[in-house]
Order: sequence, then structure tokens, then C-alpha cells
Amino acid sequence: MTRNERTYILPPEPALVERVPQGDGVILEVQIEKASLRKQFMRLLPRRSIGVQGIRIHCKDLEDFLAAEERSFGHEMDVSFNTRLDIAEILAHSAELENDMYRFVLPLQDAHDSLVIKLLGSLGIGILLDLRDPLFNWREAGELIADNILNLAPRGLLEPIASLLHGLEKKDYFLGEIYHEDPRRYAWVDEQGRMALSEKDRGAGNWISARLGDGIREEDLGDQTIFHPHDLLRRRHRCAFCEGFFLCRGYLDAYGQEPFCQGFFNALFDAVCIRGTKNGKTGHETHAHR
Amino acid sequence: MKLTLIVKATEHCNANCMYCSVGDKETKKNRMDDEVLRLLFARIKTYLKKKPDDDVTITWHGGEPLLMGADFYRTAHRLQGDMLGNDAYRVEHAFQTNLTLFTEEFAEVFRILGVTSVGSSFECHEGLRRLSLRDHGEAYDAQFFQALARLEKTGTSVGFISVVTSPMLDKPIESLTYVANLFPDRINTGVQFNKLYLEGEAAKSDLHYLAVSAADFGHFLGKAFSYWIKRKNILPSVQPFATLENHLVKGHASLSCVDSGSCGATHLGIGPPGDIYQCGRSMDRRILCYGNLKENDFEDVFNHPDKKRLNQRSRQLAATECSGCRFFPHCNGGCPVEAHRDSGNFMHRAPVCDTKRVFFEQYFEPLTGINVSKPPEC
Repeated sequence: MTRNERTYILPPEPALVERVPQGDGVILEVQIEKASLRKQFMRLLPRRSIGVQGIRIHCKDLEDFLAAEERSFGHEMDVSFNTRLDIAEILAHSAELENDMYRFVLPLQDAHDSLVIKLLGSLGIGILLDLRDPLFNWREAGELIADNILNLAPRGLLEPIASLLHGLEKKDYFLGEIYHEDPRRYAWVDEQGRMALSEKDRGAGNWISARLGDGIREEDLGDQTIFHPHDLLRRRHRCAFCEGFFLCRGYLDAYGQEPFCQGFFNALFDAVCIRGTKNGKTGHETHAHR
Repeated sequence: MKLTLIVKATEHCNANCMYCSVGDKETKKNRMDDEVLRLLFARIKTYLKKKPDDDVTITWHGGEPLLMGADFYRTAHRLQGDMLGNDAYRVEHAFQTNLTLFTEEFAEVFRILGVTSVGSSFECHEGLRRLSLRDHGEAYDAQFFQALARLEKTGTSVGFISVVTSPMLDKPIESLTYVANLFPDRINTGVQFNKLYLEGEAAKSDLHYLAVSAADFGHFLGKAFSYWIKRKNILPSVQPFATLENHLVKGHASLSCVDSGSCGATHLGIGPPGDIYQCGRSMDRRILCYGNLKENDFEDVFNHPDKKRLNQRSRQLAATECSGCRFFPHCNGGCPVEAHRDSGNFMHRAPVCDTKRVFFEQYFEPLTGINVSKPPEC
């Protein structure tokens, strides 16, 4: 995707998909009930060619997800759950869970969540930690980071750790990207075609003046609340002195996570530097995943 | 060899930074005209013809070089092509700018001149950089960060100089982290710490509270180095650490102009009316003026008696003032212009001894295990 292209995160309304400008992409956002995933997805298939870049699936629980008659549509899928996953249930369904195309978006609030994440990782399932969760447990995260970076056993990709490590060697990385919340690249659309430049802004009803199908102007970027790195630097905000700012750029502060997140980056770089000392590099080149 | 020309097309500046080394900018509003610019390329042409193995880097400095406007640099680009012909590729351009005037138009100028990285300067400490005497830093910062956002979109990277003043002394890690955070591109961004240089505005007595002693600067660098050495894999290139490490561990990097002892052979400064100085600093101090582009080509300048003396300075210091100093190979007596400011004689050593001693003995050697008197074989 080039810099000028935009991706729209849309609810399941074919009429909305029709309004997406040619050349841009979409991520479809689907709520599923038992066994209804395929039906819902088929209904969404656009009548004209449009670049579907992924699907965000919201499930009630693991049972709902497993009950869907088909769980792969050739697109990357981020799957989130309304309830916390049960370890015994995961173990019971471990053989059914193996699939390359989906990633579980999970909370990390306590040791139970940490165990779930490690267990799913050991099954080769990709995981995206939701660092925006107000109850996110940063202490558990520190331990998980060290384990993920320094433990050489193969496991599913743990995000955003893997992308942050990749970001160390990119010229312009922004943590919000992995949550599809880079206002320069994504727009979040509601059923009426109103647009916000982040999930947070959509949730708060912070709409920009343009509607789906209109062009998004440079000035519209001023109406979002996620990406203000230069403002934080100018104000000498605490984020501006954080080791991880060049990757996060204040994203986690927008979710009220500063200053707890600073320790997360310290732990990340401690592990990277230990690993790098051994490898003579940043260490992520040998990051283990399935 | 690479000849670096520090070209101050104007000494005027749109800012009023408290520690500016130029000083009296209101009386220095002259601008380089097209005739002097043409002469500059004529002298470069002659130099390149006589030195077929050499290249030239023009560092557009000031004052504020962007005050000259985009057309001035378009003219420079045209003259480079027209006058140097097949040798045009042997001239590179660099900019040292406060960035506050950076626009899309300058992005285009940088592109045609082949500039992929610009030099700027900024610090975590607020209020020292001002657009006017009434500005407490807010206006300067607002303009700077707007320009930085613009620059980020062009893909041009930045190297930042951070001037260390007394309020920063107890914040070495914060100072480093903050400046490193100014630009997200860690691969091409650089950071350099310079001690406040008491010249021009900064030399005014009411600003002496900002001054930093040589030993304090050594401690500042040492503490920043202690952090850098643990985190260098994730930090941009930080000077003087990266160069020192290359110099002492890998043995192949050249030192910066102030430490190399060879600036006499590698640097010249050109002022708005075409005056030829040793460098930008010597122009600020109005010393080591070797002539003018109208009368002299670069060969004349390299035969100037002061230039020849300067080329002997390192050897002379090694036999006299700096004799027996185990740190001498890593500073060569320091910057000659700073020596002149300190003692009135550029042939003396600069007051950097305490900085080097503190930094090497208390931080670098214990942390790296390298004895700087006996660097390991490469």
C-alpha cells in the first residue's frame, strides 16, 4: 500500500463498500453469531473489485468462533472475543484452532491472560495484545516480552512485539498502524457513512466533515486525537522523553496509558539489547515464529 | 580527499537564539550576490581541475541559509551544472539550518541539489531558541515543529546538534532521548552534542550562567555515553560516541574537524562578500581570513602563511603543550578557533583537556575496557 492510499474499516453494509474510492482498500468488520460467519461474509462480497485487506471479527466466545462453518476466506482476520478465553477449552480444541489466516486480539489483564497467550502461542496462533485496554497489565507484559524475545522456542507471532522489532529498522514506524489507527492511512466508518480517523474517534463520535466517498483532506487530520507527535515534543510532554516514543509517537498516551507504557518499552529494549549483544544486531532477525 | 566549504551566504538569521555564536547579526545583513556565487563555482572548478582525486562538499551555513530563498540555491545548482560540466558530480551539498523557514519549495531545492539529510539543531531545554527578543521560545518551537512535520513527509532525514548548556547538565539521558525522538527515522538520523561555545551572543556576560565547564561537559558526555553504550542498537548515531567507538575499536573512522588536527587541510569558510576564512567558526570570530574569492583561488589560500602554520599545529602541540598526554591522539589539541578564544592564539591547545580526561578516565575506559592509550589492534 502506498502512502496515498487509504484503508476504510467498514461495518457490513454493501452500500458502504460501493462508496469506497477506487484504488483504496477496505477492512470488513463483522459481528458473528454461531455459524453465521460465512453467510455474513458472502453478503458483503462487493459487486465491484475492491481490495479487501482484512476482516475484523467480533465473537461472543471461542465456541462461537469454532462453530462457524468456515473460518478462512483468504483474508487476514483479526478475531476478538467478548469473554475471556478458557484454558481448558483451548486445550480441548487445540487441533481445530490451527490456522494461518487469523490472529486473536486479546487482553492482558492478569496471569491467566498471560497463560492463555503463551498457550495459544505454543499452538502457533498469532496474537495481538490490546495495549489500549485500560486494564492492560504492564507488569505481565514485561515478563511476556522477555519470554517472547529471549525464548528461542517456535511459537505464533506475538504482536505488537514483532512489528515493534521490525519498526526498529524502518524509517517511519507508528504503533497505531497495527491497530489500523494511523490517521494518515485509515478511516473508520459507521453505518451512515460518517468517518473518523481512528477507532477511538469513531467510538467518541469525533467525525470529520468528509463522508465516505469524499476525499479526506490534509486539514481533516487536525480533527483526530491519535497522532500528535510534534505537539508532544513541542510541549516536552513525558512521552517526548520515553525510549519508545520513536515507535509509539504518543499513541498509547492517547489511550491514557502513559506513564505505565514507558516500562513496557524499557523491557522491550532491555530484551532487544541483550539479544542484540549476543547477535551483534537488534536481535529480531532470528525472532522465532512458526 | 574531501574539501569542505562552509559557505555562509548570509550571516543574518530569522532567529534570536540566546547562545548564537554569530552575534551582532543586525550588523551582518549582507547577502552573497550572484556574482560572488559565480566566483565560488569558478574557484571550485579550478580546484577540481588541479585536484582530480578530490571532491568538494558545500555546507550551506549561516546565519540562516534558508533566508537566501529557494531561487538562490536554484542559481547555485544551475551554475554548478553550467560551470563544472563533467565535474559537477564531484560537488555535494549539505545544509545546516534551524529549519523554521523550511517549506515545500525548499524540499524541491534539496531534491535538485541531492540533499538527502540536513543538519539542524535543537535541545530539550526550552526558551533558549527564540524568533524574537519577545519570544520565550513558543513561537520558535511552533515554527520548528511545523517544519519538522513537513520535512518528515519529504523523506529527508536530519542530523541534530544539541548545544549543552548548564540547565541540561543533570539530564544527559533525557537530553539524548529527547533529541533522538525528534525524528522517527533512526537509520539516517544523527545526534551530536556540542558544548556551549562562548562566542557571539553567547559570550555576553549576562548569559554566562548558561556556560558549562570542560569537566562538567565531560561528565555530561560520560553519563550519556553510559546510556548509549547499552542502547546503541536502538538509538540513532550519536556523536562523539559513534566516531570514538569506530576510531578506538575499529580503527578506521576519521575524527570530527575539532578533534582531527587536520582541519587546515580539509576545511574553508566562505563569507557573503566572498571572504575566505578557515571555517565558519573562524568567520564568526573574524580570524584566520586568508583572502577573498575575487582575488584568490583555493591554491593561494592553502599557501597562506596562517594556513601553513595551522597545518603544523598538531605536530607542534604534540611536542610542547600536549607532550605526553595520552589523550592527544583523540583530540589533537582541539579546535584552533576555540584555542584563540581562550588564549588569543590559535596555535595553542583548546580548553578541552578536562572534558577528555573526565570522559575517557571516568566513563569510556571503565565501560568499554579499552585503554585509549593502547587501542586494540583491528
